[in-house]
Amino acid sequence: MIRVKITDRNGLHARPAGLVTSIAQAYPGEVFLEKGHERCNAKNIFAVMALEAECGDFVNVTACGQDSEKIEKEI
Amino acid sequence: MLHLFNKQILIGSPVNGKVVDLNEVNDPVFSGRTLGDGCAVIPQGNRICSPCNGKIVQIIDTNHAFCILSDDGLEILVHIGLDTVKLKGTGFKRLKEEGMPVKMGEPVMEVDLSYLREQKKEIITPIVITNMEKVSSLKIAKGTTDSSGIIMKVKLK
Repeated sequence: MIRVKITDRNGLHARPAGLVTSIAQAYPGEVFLEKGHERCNAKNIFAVMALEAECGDFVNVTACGQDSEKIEKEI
Repeated sequence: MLHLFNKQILIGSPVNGKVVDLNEVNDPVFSGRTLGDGCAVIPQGNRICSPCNGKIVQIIDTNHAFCILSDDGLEILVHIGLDTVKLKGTGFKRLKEEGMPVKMGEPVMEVDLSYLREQKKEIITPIVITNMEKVSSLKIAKGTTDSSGIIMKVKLK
């Protein structure tokens, strides 16, 4: 699991959310993003945008399976 | 849930305007099909409507984009203008709320196109199906359209 801080002034909006989703989708295992109590499937663009992660928020990136650390870092 | 083989789903334009290929969108997230496939409309009207019957699953905080889950199971993202997240909601007025059911052609958002232009934001509006794994084919109908004119024909797997 990797903890990241959102630094984009506009938060995790469509463009970065799309990039996160496309990286996550290429990974065979499960990938989750967590903000506070909310957890979402990083492979689903709607779910990632619904997280509404804003500038300054901390988000946990968790991948399950082989090479999980590598995908976490990539995301 | 009924399985209808090769059922064709018609997606309507959210607004009057000109339908173009996603390749014409000046943002690689859309032209590169990162979020999914679909088309874009260059709007001429200021009421952005639902492209299909379904439910509004999300309206982005800053009102510049919304997501509809169609009754047929398609997840459709309508993103009004490019880089419009930076307007932080100014120029947009919500006409519906998250969770509400909608019919094709029902207005969801009002946008001030002249304000967007003043702020040097492109008004081109991508309409993208984000769950393309359910789609077997997608055809777009380019050219001028009225709101709810058919802009895409989708066949499910």
